[in-house]
Amino acid sequence: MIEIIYMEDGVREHPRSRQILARFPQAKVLPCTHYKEVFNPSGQSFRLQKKKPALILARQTSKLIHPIPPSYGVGGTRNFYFSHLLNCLYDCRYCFLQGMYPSAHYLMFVNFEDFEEEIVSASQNSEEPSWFFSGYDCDSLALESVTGFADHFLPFFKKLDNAWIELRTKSVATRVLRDREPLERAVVAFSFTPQEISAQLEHGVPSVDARIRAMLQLAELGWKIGLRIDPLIDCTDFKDRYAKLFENIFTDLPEHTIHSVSLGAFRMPTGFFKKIEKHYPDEPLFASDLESKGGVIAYRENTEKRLKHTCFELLEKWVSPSKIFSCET
Amino acid sequence: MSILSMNFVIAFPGEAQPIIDFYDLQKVGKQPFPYYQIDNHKLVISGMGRERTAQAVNYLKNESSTPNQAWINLGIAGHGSLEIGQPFLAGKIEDDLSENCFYPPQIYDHTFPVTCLKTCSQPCSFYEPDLGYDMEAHAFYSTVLSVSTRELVQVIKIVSDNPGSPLASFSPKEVPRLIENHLETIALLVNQMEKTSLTIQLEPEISNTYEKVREIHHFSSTRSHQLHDLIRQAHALGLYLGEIESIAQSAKDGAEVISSINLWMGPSRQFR
Repeated sequence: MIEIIYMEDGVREHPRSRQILARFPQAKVLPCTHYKEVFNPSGQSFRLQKKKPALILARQTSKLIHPIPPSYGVGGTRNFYFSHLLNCLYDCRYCFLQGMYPSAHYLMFVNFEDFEEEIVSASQNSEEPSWFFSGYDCDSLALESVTGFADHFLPFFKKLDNAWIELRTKSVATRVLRDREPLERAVVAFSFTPQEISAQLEHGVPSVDARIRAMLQLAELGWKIGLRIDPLIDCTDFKDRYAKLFENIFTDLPEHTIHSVSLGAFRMPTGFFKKIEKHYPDEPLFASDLESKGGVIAYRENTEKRLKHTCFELLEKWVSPSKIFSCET
Repeated sequence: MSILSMNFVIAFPGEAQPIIDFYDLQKVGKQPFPYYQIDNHKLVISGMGRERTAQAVNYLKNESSTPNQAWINLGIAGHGSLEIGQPFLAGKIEDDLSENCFYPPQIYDHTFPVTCLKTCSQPCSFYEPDLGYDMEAHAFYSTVLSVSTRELVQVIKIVSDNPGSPLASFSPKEVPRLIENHLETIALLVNQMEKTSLTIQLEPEISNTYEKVREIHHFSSTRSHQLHDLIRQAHALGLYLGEIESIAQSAKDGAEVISSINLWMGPSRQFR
């Protein structure tokens, strides 16, 4: 799976680097002084690198946790995200990562312990619970077999009594969760679009049905489930497709296991959108009726309202409105 | 219909001849560099060293107007670990005069080992393990980058000397044979790179329609961009681009062309 590993000289002897190298004995290891030499240069094609991303092992020395703006919708009053990994196993055409990073290589920061220090510090700064979101710059679980992220961080979060973690995923690789007791302050959030949309836009992602099965297994075991209906894609048969999706998700999902459901229409910073559009000029999604407003490309206001309103109405059949949140542009 | 394109930059005639023969390239120029071509396969013989290589790349860049074509620097090299005759791809390119390194992204399926390569000012007789030595790759890579994305720029070397068989004992007469032994595997990589290049070229139909519409009306710089975006979007939506020419012919000016195309495309914009 991984044929090339770029490794910062400074993490060559790190135990986590050694574990990963042992996992890929056939991979060619190429040294670099700093990950930015490989990851940051201009003139790379995110689209082409997606064919065969390499792994970069590095140490994150800049800020490790970042505050999340209130428009994010879910969580508490003190929300942060942190990224042990930049880039994703999957290739979703609507994903902002394609426009944010110059490279599609998986960039993994092996210094988990430094993340932990900052998480402890942030969570101790207030009486209010802090929320930590891990699936912002990557899928939280899809590369678990490489990173060991959840296996490491779940026991860590279990010991913190004032901190929540959200794992956001489209993966069905949930063994790391199934093999342990559910955490009281953890939410496993699955993102969904209707299968017809997923098949066209979520390349490499397990089918909607497979993800629902994985989600139900976790719910049965007692894990709190988040549903991220984000991005909403304006499409033909919108209401029917989303109604069917919700029926498939919620029919067997006990309501008490649902932590939250969030809705967000397709939106993207304009700069990212323009880059992605250049990578994929033939993508019909980018020819949708969108407008640029306040530095963000999104559906027109009335379209966004219609999409969200339709979904709210559909969701109310299955979930208490108090659990439904809107993510704003 | 787009055509497969490859640009070879090779230092010496002995290294180039097997490629010239394999692709049946025809000599089309002698000055300032021997230049061979058939269709969109081009090859220039640069001569030795950074400066000549950069000049040859620039010369070939002027011959190729389309951006994001595939480029290969091919030749012999010393290596600290690999056997004589073993081909390899450069995964990291260093330079003895520069701090700047390149990491050509490895996205292709091939059987070549990938190793580090150092471009040196002088032929090298000291070998470090797992490191190749040449005199051109770094200049080649840095010069090509203004016209092509990094994935489409690769360096293939074939080991001519190593610690057990140093450069002094190497006869230049052996060069063609070293290359010939790997032509089939080189061609497989060349083919993948060419096809990959095509995947990121804009469909010629889009530029053709754009040019035709611009011949009908005057468009300001902003409207030209809008027009190009609309034609590209229409193509993405699977619409017949001939309709855009008809719209342009019926419209009274550029502004009306833009608004009419928008109107025409509106119902098709919803994602299916």
